[in-house]
Amino acid sequence: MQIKVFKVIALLCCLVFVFLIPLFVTQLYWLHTFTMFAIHAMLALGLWLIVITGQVSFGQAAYMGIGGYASALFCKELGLGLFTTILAGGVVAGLLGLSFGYLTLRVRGAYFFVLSFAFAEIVKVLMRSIRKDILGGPNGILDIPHPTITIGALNLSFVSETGPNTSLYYWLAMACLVITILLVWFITRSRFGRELRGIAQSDDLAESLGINVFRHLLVTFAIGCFIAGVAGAIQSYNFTMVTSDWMEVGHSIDQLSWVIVGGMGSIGGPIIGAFILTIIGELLRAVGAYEPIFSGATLVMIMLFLPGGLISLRVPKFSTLLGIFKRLSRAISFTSGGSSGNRKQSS
Amino acid sequence: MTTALLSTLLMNSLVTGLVYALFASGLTLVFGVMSIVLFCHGAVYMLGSYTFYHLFRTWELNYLLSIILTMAATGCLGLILERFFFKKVEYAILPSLFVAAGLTMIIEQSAMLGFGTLPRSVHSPFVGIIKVLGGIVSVERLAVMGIAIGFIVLLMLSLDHTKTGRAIRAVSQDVQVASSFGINPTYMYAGSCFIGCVMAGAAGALMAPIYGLSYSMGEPWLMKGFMIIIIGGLGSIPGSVIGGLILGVIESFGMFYFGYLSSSFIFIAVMIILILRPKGLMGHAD
Repeated sequence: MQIKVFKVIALLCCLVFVFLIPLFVTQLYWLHTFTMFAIHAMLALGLWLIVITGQVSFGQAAYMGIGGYASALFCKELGLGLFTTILAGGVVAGLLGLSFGYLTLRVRGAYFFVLSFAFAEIVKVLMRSIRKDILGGPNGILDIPHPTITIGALNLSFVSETGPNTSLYYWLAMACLVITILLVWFITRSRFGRELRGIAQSDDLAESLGINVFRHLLVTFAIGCFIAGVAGAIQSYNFTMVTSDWMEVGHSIDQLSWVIVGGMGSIGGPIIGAFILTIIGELLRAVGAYEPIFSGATLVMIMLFLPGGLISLRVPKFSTLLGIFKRLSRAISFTSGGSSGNRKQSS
Repeated sequence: MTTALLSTLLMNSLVTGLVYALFASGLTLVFGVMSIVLFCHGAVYMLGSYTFYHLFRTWELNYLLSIILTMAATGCLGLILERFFFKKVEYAILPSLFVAAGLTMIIEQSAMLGFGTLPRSVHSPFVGIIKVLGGIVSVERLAVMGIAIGFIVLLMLSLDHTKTGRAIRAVSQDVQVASSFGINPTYMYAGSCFIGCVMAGAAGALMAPIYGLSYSMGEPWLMKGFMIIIIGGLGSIPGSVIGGLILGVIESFGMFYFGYLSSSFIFIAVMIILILRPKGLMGHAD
């Protein structure tokens, strides 16, 4: 009980710290990077939810792009508010995922993997080539206005005289990330989530226990796509634009690599993966054209030497650390004594 | 529409379709035997093209000899991939996919830094055109078509009639039963990876004079290869031939009549085929 209370307090402290970051990180560049991390972590969590059922989706970038397009259209054409459009972006992406899943979730494994990729490509090509007057063709939708929200008497504008209000975007993305974490956490902790893990182990076994496998997969896939759509909507506001380049294969690979590098074992994996890879990606900008080589090498190294992902790295307990230190110091004193003795003999 | 136009389009789609089939047969073989998605197949194709370029244009070797040396080189690359990467992750589908994706990034970016961003071209040793049913076809494309057919037939015959080929097929059907009959699956994995990359190298060498070379030429081919093996059924080489021909026809005719929108036709075809026949045209239900 005490440990539980301690854990909750620690988590709350972390949360407060995360939300206070804009007060002492004054460099807008890093604040923007953290905003990107929040969006990436949401995408990774949505994908993780789908992946733990055993279905690997290779087209999440399309749902993210659709969410961005939908919110941009609702904002520019209908003039709806910030939260409505973000939610609408998520819902449109979720509905698209629902219809695609209804057609294809009966196939599994590599077939679903390639099908989801094929669908993402169709969506990308369609977005580039139809209704160029509204969707903007290859350019996408530009000049999405910075929103203004009113909470009670407080009137918050996402843009000031000096430029976009990065702190507000950070808070928006972080708040959505926290809600997403809670949502995904409750889903995996519920009976539904345990049934999903059962489905991942064996379809037939789950079916024999009275679980409607297809419906479970469909609902999970739609939720994952909804989360991707919300993330895309936030990103479209943050960038004030949305283009079909967001739906390129590279972005789907990125999303999968956040999940895989972080580790699929628990909910912390995708978040850590998104954090580490986003930060590494920003740091690697210094090496310029060599950046893809380094990120490719990171991916290969983690797959070869840390198959469980970063989450499988456990921080050792204090007593084990002490034991290792003692043994190490003993070994060092032994070898240094021995080698000095040898040197004397040889000379 | 005239017969001449129809015949030209059809011959062109046949040529590209057969080279697609050659490329995809390697992909499908590797998937059938090792059940991994060889995500770096496009990068191997690109490396094959550049190897051919250097052998044929810089070193001025014989055309056929350059193709065969290219195939040997990419085959060795396949052995390295199998031994040092896929074996280390125990042929699990997702880790090998990511290892291959990471390697693709490394290979493509190194190619960009090493070979430059400018597209290059090679002149084909074959010149001239022939008229087939009023349509115009270059001799070069006919030669490429002939060589591609030769390689595919050779692959099918060797899988059916040699001892190693039969062993590879046995491993692709059931690893445990095959190993209980004294077949070492590790050798067969290495062999299939070798053959798969040889096929990618051959496709790269054949396509280099037709489409030219650039460091990013592999990615669209990889995507097309995925579509082909899904249409034909994963693991089936005749299926990949059929899928390649379908893709060739859809591409040539679609691009002629509909333009850019046609690049989504193949995906729509894939979705329709998979919804009607979830295991592909020639796939086995398992």
